[in-house]
Amino acid sequence: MSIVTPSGGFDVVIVGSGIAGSIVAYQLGKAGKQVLIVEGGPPVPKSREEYLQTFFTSNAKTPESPYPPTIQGAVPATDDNPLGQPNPSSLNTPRYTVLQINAWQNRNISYFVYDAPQAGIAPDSPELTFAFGSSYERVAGGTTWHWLGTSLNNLPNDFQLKSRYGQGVDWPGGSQFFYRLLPYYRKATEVIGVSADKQAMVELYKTFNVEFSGEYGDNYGFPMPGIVESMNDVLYAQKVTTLKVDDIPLFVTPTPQGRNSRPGNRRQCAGNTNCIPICPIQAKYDGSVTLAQALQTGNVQILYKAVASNIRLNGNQVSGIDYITYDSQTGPSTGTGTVTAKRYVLAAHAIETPKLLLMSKNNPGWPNGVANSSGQVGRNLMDHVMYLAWGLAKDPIYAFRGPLSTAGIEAARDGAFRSQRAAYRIEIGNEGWNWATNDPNTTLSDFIFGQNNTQLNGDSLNQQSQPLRFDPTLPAFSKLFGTRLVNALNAIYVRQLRLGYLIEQLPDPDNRVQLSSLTDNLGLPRPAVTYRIRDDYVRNAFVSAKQVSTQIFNALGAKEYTQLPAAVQSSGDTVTPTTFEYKGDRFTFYGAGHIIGTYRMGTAPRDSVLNRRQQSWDHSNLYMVGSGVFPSTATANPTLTIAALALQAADNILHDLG
Amino acid sequence: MDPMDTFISLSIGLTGFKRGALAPDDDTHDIKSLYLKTFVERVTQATVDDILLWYRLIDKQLLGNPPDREERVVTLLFADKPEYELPCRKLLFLWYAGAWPTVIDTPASTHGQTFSEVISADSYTQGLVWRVMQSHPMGSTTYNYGYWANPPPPLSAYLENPV
Amino acid sequence: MTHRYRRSLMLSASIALIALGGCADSGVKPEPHDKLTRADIRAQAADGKLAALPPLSWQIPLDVDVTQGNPNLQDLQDDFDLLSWQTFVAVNWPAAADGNPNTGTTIGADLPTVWENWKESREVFLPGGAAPPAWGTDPPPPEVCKGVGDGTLNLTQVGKTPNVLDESAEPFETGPLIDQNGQYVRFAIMMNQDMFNRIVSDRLYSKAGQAAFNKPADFTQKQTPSNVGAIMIKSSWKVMGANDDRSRFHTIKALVYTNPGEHEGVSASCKLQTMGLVGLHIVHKTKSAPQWVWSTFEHVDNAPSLGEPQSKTSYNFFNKRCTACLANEPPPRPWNPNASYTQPTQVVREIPLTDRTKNLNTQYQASLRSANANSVWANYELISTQWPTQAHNPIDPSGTPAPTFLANATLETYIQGKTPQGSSSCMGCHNNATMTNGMTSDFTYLLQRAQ
Repeated sequence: MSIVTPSGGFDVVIVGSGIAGSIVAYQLGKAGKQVLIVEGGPPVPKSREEYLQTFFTSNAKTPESPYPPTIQGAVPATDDNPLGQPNPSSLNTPRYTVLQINAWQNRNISYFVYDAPQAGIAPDSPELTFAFGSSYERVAGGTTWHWLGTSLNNLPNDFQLKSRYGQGVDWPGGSQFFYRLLPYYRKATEVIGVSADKQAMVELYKTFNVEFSGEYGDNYGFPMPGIVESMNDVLYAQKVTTLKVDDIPLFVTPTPQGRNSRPGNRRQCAGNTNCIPICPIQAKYDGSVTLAQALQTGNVQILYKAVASNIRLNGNQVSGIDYITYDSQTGPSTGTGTVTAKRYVLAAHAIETPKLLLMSKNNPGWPNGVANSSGQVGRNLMDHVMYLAWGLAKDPIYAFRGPLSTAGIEAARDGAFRSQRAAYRIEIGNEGWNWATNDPNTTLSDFIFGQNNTQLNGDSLNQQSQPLRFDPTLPAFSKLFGTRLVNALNAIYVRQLRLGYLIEQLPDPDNRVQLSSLTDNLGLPRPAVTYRIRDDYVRNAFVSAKQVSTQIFNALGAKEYTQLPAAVQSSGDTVTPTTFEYKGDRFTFYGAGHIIGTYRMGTAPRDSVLNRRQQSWDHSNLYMVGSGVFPSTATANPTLTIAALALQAADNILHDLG
Repeated sequence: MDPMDTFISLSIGLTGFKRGALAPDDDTHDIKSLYLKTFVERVTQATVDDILLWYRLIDKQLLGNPPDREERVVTLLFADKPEYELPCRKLLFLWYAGAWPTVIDTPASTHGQTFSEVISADSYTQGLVWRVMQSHPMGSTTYNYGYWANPPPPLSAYLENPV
Repeated sequence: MTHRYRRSLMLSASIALIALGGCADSGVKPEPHDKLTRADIRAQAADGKLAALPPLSWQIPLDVDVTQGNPNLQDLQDDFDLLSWQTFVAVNWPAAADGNPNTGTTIGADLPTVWENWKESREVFLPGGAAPPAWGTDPPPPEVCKGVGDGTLNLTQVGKTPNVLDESAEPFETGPLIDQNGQYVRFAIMMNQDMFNRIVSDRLYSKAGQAAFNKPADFTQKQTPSNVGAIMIKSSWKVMGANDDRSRFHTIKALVYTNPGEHEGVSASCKLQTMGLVGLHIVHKTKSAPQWVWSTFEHVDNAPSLGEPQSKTSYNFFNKRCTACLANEPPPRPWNPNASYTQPTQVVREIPLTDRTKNLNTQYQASLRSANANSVWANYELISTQWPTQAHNPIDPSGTPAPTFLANATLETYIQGKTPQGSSSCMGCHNNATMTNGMTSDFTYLLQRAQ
């Protein structure tokens, strides 16, 4: 599509068309501003057919599996690349995927370039480096194509972690940040179309004393009633109330979700159990919804397959953004261009945004890159690091049905313990052991071929020394078929439980994105990533999560199957990507898909990239949006906060444009 | 018996599902044909022919008509022709996962592991593994909003009907 | 082996007799094969001796008529396809002044049809959840249409036609369809009196009524020749341009209303225009098909099928000379039906018709021409019929439809493929339809329009 430059030029150029960029574009377009989006990836396809087809036929159904560029079967399979993953240097818009985690040291597979762990490092050393656990998409509509839909507010104390608990950093203004954001949170629930039960949320907020007045007004409301809870949720709700964590009584809260509980412009959720990687019927919100609204205003134009490569400065002001175009993913670049506007917004998520800033280092006086006088660009990379626990319920709860998660235990998201260890929310999974063991495939293989990768079909003991063989009347490593196979599989699958702990992570300036010497097919540097979990504050939460899981499964009368990770290998061919030891125990962490930090807001130019208006300290006509602006991970899944902050940024930009 | 009839009988014995689920009268997906073709491609026509021949021979010798006839034949087939057990188990896996398996023997501690290759979108969604769990393929349900708050139909319904 | 259709065969055979009886009174000129029994006709047709069809009739068949002793999937598909054509002829029968079929004439001339007298969704789901006016009473057109003219002007015999076409978007915002003249295609959804009556009696026309009803909607009803059961019809229309041969279309003079609520930034407008019918879904709730029978027809000039010769000199939605045009791509946003010209959509039918359906089409088109040599209805073709192979499947409420995928190139232009969940399947998709209270709506998205 050709771009028509308006007579007065563009008011705003936005890099990236995910939820944050699209929200800013829609708000500005609605207000009559002329907007150009530069999107590195291909357009939203005419329907979901193509993405769904790729998903259905993918061997590994990872979060990224439906989306281009193709990540499986891209090249002929080999022994060290059995899924045929492409070399990132051969692609025009490569991105990090969870399939790359185990291959993190293989630079022909992993887009992120990692140094090898320090020789001889102890498995419990805080200096042990890891593969990053989370991924993102480079397509129109962005990473919300594969988000879960969880739409929680952060809590006031999440924004004042330093002043309240002496940990990490405060957000600008501390708890006031929450109250300023609250109307935008409400507006964000409208943008996304969140389904939730207000009363349940208010009961939760009361336990955290969120509103001193006790009055929870319109800003706490939701556009649609809550999504029906699963049979799984009901079991937990009945049983966990006997438990306390650090003196906090546990209870189950239905999760606010960005999917339709009622029909509207999008279909009502049908429970396809596939929010990640792809909702087949778009009952779940994704960024393409807002992108379409933005384009519908007639004031927003978009360049697809145009990868922003450099930010130009004129003095202290951004004066243009250079981009490179391509037609096919592995083909040559087809051209370059420069776009200009009165204001600029970077919305390319928390890896590509800092990469772009760092790549822009040829402007006189800015040798460390644009917006980087603080040296903070690319630093403080974070995720909600996850602890997974799984088990088998005593009675069927019928897993693998409904949205992937419909409830959680939110009670431990704040408390006095936060001076000692990180907070977490506990997500209750409805998808059995799909995440934990790659089921249904692994259990299936175990009982057809006589293997024991699930611990159900051998002589395994769990970490509490209970025998785990599912049917003690059968020998270990049984091979079943026919009715006996049917009965064993049925009894297992319908009882599978999974808990996930989203543990907050503190900003660590040495966890960072830099430019590597390797390049992608357009000649742009690939990210060099350094990632550790150094803080005992975070590691202590793993210890807590493990204990609490065992207590919860005991309360349910369930048998725990959480596997002890294999020993850490810090050298050789198979360097352990995400396992560490702590206090004599061994933990594997998982990514929550929440890429946070790398261009944070703050109260002073010396230690932050943006002010609280999400405006660059260095260049007043440059703004940034997305979870990269977060000073800390806080305890909620980030998307609702991303949306609220994008709405707030749009207001700031409108104000500045006059 | 034509080869498809024998193939279906063998598949009934292996999977524990009924004819109405594997080869319904009005077979809108006809996944059985894709699976027979895949079976032939992966283990050779000669092997498939011989497996089906042995199945028929054993079936003929079976006295009476027990309700678990097909499973009994498969038990005898594995005993008589142990070299056919692995290809038959791979076929079993195909019916359940809609994918062709590769079985490797490492790690020894778990007696190996299994990788697999999805045959088609239809084979994924037709996989019996979703039915044995009384659910639907992840990414493709025909149930309606809120079904997850209630128990599913009984297992027998899933063993007898197509989707 | 028992067959699910054995039982319904008995029932529907007797229904077919009634239908034929009704036909005898209709004044249709008897064809020679009228004297043969149905079984005889079908037997001969199967032999290829006689291209035999039931006579053209205004009587809407109540259900499929399965004549084969032990029918296989193809036999049943044939039977449902025949049902589709019989229904097509009946609903498109010329209407009398009261909106009922004019039994004194036959189908052929371009006259207002029976279904065009049915209720439009716009007339049923009123602002504030008001009760809709009685059957046969027209609510006024939208404000912006006042003074534009009368959409029924040239349709002198009937009080009511789809005089307001108020939709221009395909399902789930997949995009509008633009004809070769650069004009937006318009859509309308109508329901028959049996469906309307049920909506009124169950008070499903309002949000409050649906909440009070508090159970899944159900349009099941006892079918008789005068109460054929619930039927919905979704139609698509293109503006008749200077270069369009109007004699090849069923046309209406309609108030073409652009609803500002449909797309942001679009203003309300109304034009009196001559519109040609290009697509028709006929959806009938029958005894054998609780998931409804989904018949879909198109104008024969709409678009070529993938992998087949482009045999027409020109198409309604395909430009043979445009080799650079990408097939089945919606126009870029912003979408605005008021635009004077929009880049046409290059439409290709992705799943070709089966040979059996093509044969039936040829026979029906010949039959229609023998009734009236200039019949506009001979310029339409059945694409296929979707029906439930397992109407009461406890593990598949969608009824395990055959064929698995079915799309009308004018109504589901952008989702014509064969990917589970993503591609058009009438029953697969409508199985997700619910009311405003979230309870299932018996396969219609209409009820979510209640206010």
